[in-house]
Amino acid sequence: MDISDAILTTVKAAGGEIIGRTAIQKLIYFESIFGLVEANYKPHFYGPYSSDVSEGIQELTELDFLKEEIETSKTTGFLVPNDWRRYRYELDSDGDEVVSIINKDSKDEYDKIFKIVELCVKTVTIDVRILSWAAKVNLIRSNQGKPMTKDEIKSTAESFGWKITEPQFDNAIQLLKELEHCEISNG
Amino acid sequence: MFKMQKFFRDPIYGFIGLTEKEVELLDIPAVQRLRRIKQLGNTHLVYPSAFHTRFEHILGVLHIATRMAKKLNLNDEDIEIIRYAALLHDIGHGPMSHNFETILETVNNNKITHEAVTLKIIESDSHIKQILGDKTKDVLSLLSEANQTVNQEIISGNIDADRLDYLRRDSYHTGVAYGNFDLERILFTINKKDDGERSYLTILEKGMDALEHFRLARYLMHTQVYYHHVRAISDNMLHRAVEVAIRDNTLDEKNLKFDDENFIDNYLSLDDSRLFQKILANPQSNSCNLIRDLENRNLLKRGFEIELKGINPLEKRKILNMKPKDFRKLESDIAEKCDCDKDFIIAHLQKIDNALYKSSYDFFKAAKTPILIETDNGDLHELEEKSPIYAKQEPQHKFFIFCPEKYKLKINEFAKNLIP
Repeated sequence: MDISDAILTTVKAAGGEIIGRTAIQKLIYFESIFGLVEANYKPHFYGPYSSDVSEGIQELTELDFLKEEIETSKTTGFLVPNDWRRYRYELDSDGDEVVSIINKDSKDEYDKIFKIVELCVKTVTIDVRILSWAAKVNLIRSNQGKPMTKDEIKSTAESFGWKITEPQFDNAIQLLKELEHCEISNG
Repeated sequence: MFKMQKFFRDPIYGFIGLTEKEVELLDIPAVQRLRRIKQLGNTHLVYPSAFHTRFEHILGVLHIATRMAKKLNLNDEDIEIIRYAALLHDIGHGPMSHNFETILETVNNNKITHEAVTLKIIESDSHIKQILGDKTKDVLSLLSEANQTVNQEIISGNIDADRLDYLRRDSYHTGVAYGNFDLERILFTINKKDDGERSYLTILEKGMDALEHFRLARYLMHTQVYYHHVRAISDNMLHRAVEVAIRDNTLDEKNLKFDDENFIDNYLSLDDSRLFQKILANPQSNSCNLIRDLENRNLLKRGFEIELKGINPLEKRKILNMKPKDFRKLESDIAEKCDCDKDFIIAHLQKIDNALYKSSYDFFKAAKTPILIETDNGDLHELEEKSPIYAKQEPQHKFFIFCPEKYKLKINEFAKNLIP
């Protein structure tokens, strides 16, 4: 599926709105590991990151498919890069119309994306921290291409500048296990 | 204190002085090559006198960066590093300046900016590193995007030496007067404000009008020069010529792969003229015809043009999702329908953006600090809080089909059916 279609379908599957650009990044990442979308993910501070997904969100916002709102907290009286921010994305009317067409044109992929997003809602209420830990663990495992112990995964994570604690690791594995069993075949 | 060894006459600033080490840097072939790369690529096809090069621009940036640094009371060591960075900041430009970034992106299937090439050239050039000595790391750090200090803002920021130079220089050489602004007032009112954790480049409130003028100058230069439709057409013809030259084995794609071990050597062997000559060497290829057409200003025309905002959501989605292979397929379909060679049909999606009219929120999203105004009591405010000028901030997305003049009507009819 095209990246912008996947973003719109993901927002729809999450109930028509998603809080956080990182949440969208990680949900699309999970979709990409099932071969539903190709988005060229690379390791980044918050886990796997795709500039294609980031640009897709921007374009969809500029072209009235998505509405974007931001909450911020200024530490200095003006916005600086490190200030706290939270983005909220909602399907705009154009986005809604397009999603219904995606559902008709790509029913199978559409349903699979819904399954993945609904599972993330059910298991972790789209908690962006857990999504990020799970995405990091998955990226490390898939890069290695062979089974790894918990310690090996944690030490590889550190080489990317990611620190994953024991409870975070357990949360990540739980979500990944759920995803592995959600009956979505590759391809 | 800097002891100048040579002075260069410059039409914008009068004289620009360089130290002995800077002259040594300037004499390196990778820097001299900038004499053969036009600052504005194909813009001379719109404004006939736009033949100035990246070489005089780097001298201008060195001059302005020094004046900014001195106004901000930076120490001599910092100024020395800033001057080196200014001299080297554009050595990563390829033939026809920004055009070559698009070509590299197509070949590498990944964004390769001239900034990334600049860093790679410095890292691989032992002569540059020898001249810079222990300052090499600091120069690389200053040229790296991750750096967010005031010193870096002088080289690459909202109101940096690069923009302060190129707007007035491009204005002078194109004859488009809108690009001129009150440089002296801006230099007089820039300031450095420390909040304990980090420093910010600010403009004192009394300089706000000069800043507004600068922003408007930049906006108008974008509409009149940088995004002129003839430039868009000629740039696309150049990109197509290179693409066809690679397809027809006139150019070796491997030489343009960023990760190839010989990339830098091959890259530095190219300039505007050498690229054209290489393509012209194969008269059997359409790439040669495209370059000849560019040279003779026999340009493609706009057969079809539409703004994406105005069309229905499904068509908008269709265009937004188009990948390079979809553009090529559309071009082939049109060519077949109109009985024209597909190499001369170019579908192009253009995003017209103007960074200086972005809101603080847009800067924030891009992890950049907004333009800051410093009031008399030392408080800092985002420019849009203080500015009386409101501007539409959303970028325009335009979809074009360029074609030879004689196919214009046919293509317009065909495209209208394609995108109602």
